[in-house]
Amino acid sequence: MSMELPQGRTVLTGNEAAAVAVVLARAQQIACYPITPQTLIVERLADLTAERDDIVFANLDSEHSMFGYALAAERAGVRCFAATSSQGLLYSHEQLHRASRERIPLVAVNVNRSVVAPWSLEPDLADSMSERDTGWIQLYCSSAQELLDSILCAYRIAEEAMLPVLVCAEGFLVSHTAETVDVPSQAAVDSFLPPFQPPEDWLLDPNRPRAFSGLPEPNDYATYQQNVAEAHDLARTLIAEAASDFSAAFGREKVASLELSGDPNADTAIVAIGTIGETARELLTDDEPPLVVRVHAYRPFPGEELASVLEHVSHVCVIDRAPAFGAPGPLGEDVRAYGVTATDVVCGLGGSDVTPDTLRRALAASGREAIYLGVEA
Amino acid sequence: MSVWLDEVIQEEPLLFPGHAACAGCGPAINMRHFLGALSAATPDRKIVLVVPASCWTIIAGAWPVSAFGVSVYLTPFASAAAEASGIKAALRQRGLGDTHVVVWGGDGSTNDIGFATVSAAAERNEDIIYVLNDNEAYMNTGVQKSGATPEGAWTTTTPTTAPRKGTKKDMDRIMAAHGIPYVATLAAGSLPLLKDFRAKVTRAATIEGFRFLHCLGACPPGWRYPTGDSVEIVHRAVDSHYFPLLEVNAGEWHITQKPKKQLPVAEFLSTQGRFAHLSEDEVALVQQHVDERWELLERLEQSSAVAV
Repeated sequence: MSMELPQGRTVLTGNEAAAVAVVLARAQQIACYPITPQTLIVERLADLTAERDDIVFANLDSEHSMFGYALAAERAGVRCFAATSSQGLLYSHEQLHRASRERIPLVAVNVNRSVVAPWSLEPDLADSMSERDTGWIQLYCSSAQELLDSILCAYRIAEEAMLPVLVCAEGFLVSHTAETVDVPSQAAVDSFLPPFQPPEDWLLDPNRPRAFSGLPEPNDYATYQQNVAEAHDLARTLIAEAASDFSAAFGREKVASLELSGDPNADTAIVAIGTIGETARELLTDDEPPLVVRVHAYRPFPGEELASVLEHVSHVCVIDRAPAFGAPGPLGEDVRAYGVTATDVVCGLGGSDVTPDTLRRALAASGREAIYLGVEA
Repeated sequence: MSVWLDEVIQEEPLLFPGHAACAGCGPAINMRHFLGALSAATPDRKIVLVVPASCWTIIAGAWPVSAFGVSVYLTPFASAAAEASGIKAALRQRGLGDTHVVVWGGDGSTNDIGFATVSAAAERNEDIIYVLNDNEAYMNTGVQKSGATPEGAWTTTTPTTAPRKGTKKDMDRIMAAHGIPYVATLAAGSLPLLKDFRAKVTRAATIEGFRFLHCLGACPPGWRYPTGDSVEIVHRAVDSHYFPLLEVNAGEWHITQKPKKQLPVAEFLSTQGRFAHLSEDEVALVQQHVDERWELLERLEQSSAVAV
């Protein structure tokens, strides 16, 4: 089936919005391997690119091969895309590490899904949180529109920072929920996102024979890693600039690192990622509404910005939709690392419900160890 | 003889002196002649080598130097065939589609950890050359058993008290079963093997689609023999039918070197310490399996021959 690119205001699921964004971003190669709940992204891309001879759609034999294919193709000078979920992301773990060290600006979507065991298709963030230290920029989206917009920004950020970007959205809650989405015109996207121009001294160019990733001396190896860390520091600025330019170009608000809702002088605050950050906004009409902070850019972590926002809040509740056994959840750990005293509540695992009431109970809890809410309730 | 070799080797090497291979490294001889024959066959076409984790991660040289006159892209162990596919597609998009994209993978990455990916790239008939550099064990990590380790061989994980049981994975028939345009086995010895080796590379150079070249890589430290014996051992491998030289051209099987008199396989095995523990009965079993495979190849040759 061949498919036309939707235009203007329309109704799309998160997965469809992602596919549309990838075509609008003029990705030249799409590396594909199916996994629920991501599959609809590559299915739509197969339809959208079937009659395009400027886009290569490649069916690979595993997620490990898919990332290998996309990373190598990108290194050879073309803009690429890949998508996965859960076990597929975990299966690609070594490719993810290598991508950031090689400074390959691949953009991939991870539709968040819990990890085995036991088997579950339902959403939580255990998959991408397990990859937080691989050197990818991570952006978490809570709506189809934000997913579309963030993919467009991601290509710009990736190619400016020369870092890979993982754009994440929870399975089913975002991926399969149909919403009203504004699809920008190709012309508007083209003026926002210039073509990929790989740096000459980075590019795999057959006309300039060189060896890539050869064994360095230990000090040179360490310098390699330091360069990635410095690129992440630079990316904080690039993420803010991309969001600001995006808002100006497309006339709608684009979250940079953090989205704040409610009274900045509130006595309590909820810090969350993804759709839980949306749910938390329902507490804004409570008698004592919290400040709601939704973390969009999780890596590089906007720690200083977050600490500054939370400076005068007396009770901070961090919601983690991922476990980190034997330690606080990943977001809780990160928030505390910047000197914020916070209670860390783990909930929503494997798609278990997180309602406004769940969050009210989370706000009422306090402690130093992670609190697994919902387990005994 | 030297005049003859001058006729065979006319190009400048693309694997430079000073590379980091062991003394007597058979695969280094393979690489030198593979790149030489490929560039001689298609002098206008550039070469990109895609190299999964292996001895060649080391041999290529310590950063920032390179032992190669071609681009070398080092990849994780299991994904080289997929990465070569991506590079080929990207170069095509950039107007550099006539570049030879070559995977140089060991038997660990090809027969074992990257097997699914090699098979998938063959099934897609990617326009790449895949070289299986077969030294019959994980040599870079210090001689551990792989799917290519031969019957009876010692490795550090198949000690002489519990040596390798069963025969090595038959990658030639497996790859031929994918219906790819070209499969060949190669052994870089002296003449006439070197001529056979280079003729196969030359043929592969001008075929489109997935080409699979299975090179025997004699390994002094892994096979346990003196470094000066690599070429002699390769000849004995071929003469004993231990490593038959064949090609499968568009489905047609052809044994390209038929020794006038088959050497007993014991005369190959006895050159290497890895087989030193084998009893007469065990050697006889290896001989039986070598002979059975040769007969199978002869039947494949007869049954697939195109009537003239």
